[in-house]
Amino acid sequence: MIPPDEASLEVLIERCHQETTLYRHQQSSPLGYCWELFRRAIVEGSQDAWQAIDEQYREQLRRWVRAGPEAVEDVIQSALEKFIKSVTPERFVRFTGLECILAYLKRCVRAVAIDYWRQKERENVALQNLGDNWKIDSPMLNADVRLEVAECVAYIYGRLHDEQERAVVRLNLELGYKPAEIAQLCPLLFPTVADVHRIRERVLRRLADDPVIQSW
Amino acid sequence: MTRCIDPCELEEGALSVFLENPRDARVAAHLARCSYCATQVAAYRRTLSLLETRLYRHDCPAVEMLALYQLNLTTPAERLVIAAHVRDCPHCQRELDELARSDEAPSLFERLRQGVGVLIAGPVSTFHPKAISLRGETPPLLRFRVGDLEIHLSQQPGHSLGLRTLLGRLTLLTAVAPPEPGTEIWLWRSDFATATVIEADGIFTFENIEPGQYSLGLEWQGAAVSVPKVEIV
Repeated sequence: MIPPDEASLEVLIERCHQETTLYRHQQSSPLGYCWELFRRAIVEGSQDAWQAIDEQYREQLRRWVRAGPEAVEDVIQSALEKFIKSVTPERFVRFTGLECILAYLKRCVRAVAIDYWRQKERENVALQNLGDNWKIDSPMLNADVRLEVAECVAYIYGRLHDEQERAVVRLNLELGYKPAEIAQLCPLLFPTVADVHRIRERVLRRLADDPVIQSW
Repeated sequence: MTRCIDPCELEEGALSVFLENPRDARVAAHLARCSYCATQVAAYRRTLSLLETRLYRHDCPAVEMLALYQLNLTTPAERLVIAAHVRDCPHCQRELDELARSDEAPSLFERLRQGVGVLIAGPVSTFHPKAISLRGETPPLLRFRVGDLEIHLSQQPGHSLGLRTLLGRLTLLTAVAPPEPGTEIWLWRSDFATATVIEADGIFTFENIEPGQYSLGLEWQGAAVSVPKVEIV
């Protein structure tokens, strides 16, 4: 039998197909042909290997998608983009075999749905706060302004005075905990929920008077 | 007005409470009299929105990074950072749980669509008995059987022009327990899928279905059961 790393692409594709079929029915352990096919695509940048992967696994991806038929191909495309973007050649060496690759690919499919809900959640936060002034193309949803966000975050934290204030901003405004939950989480910093509100009001009073923040 | 009309009336933090609960009568009464505090509340609310819009989940790892973390495919340095974040972040904890569900057994619909290990219900006969009908609708009545389970299907015009309603009933030839009310049942073809639940007496209904050939599927006694060719005319 030809070792995977010495096999031609045609042989790899054929063996990978067999390997995946047997693996799916748990009739054998993978021998490394699929892993080698992914390696050639990711590490060597072989477009032919990518093409073969697409043909080999697209149907499998379709089965994993939990969405209406009209959205299936879009979800698959997004999932593949996530996979390609996150599995760099350096990272690929951490993937031990087909099982690991498919487990991650499956998670990329689910990640598309989770991303959708993340975005909805952000929109809800903005809607709740801004009411009719909210615009769907708010720069907060645009990844290009991440640097700007980082600068904003640094500025906000620079205006805080102590650990209590930082905890309120982190837990309430970044992570969405309610004041009562914060008091439960940090009883030493905030013996009562009234302490959380007192600190939160103090922070809001200071930042409401801050011309930089008010100019955002 | 440049200051509160009665600084002793509200303790520090009361306005923050009011932002969370605008029905707080004591604060509302104060705000009705004190334009200074009312202006402050409006400024706090605006500031809160500015801050939340910029801060909310701004440093959560990308979902695909969480997936790599879960499968131990991150570098040690990445792992430390993500672990520290996940420890505090309920949203990422929830998303990790959601990602872990990828490893669970496939859903009923996934199993039906894959067709692996699915029991096929075959047609028993198709006939037009005027005496047999479901809920008084016009036949034809289609009957399918797998094991002791019989699936009776009938059609009638839907609520919209050109659409149909598919009516069904599950019956058992023996005293084996029937599928429980609330059990999901699917109807699908390549470009469409919908589900409903089985009601009392094994009855189910799919409303407003376009004519065409569909598959029907449900779970019965732990197995996925499929009726592969259901013609809706």
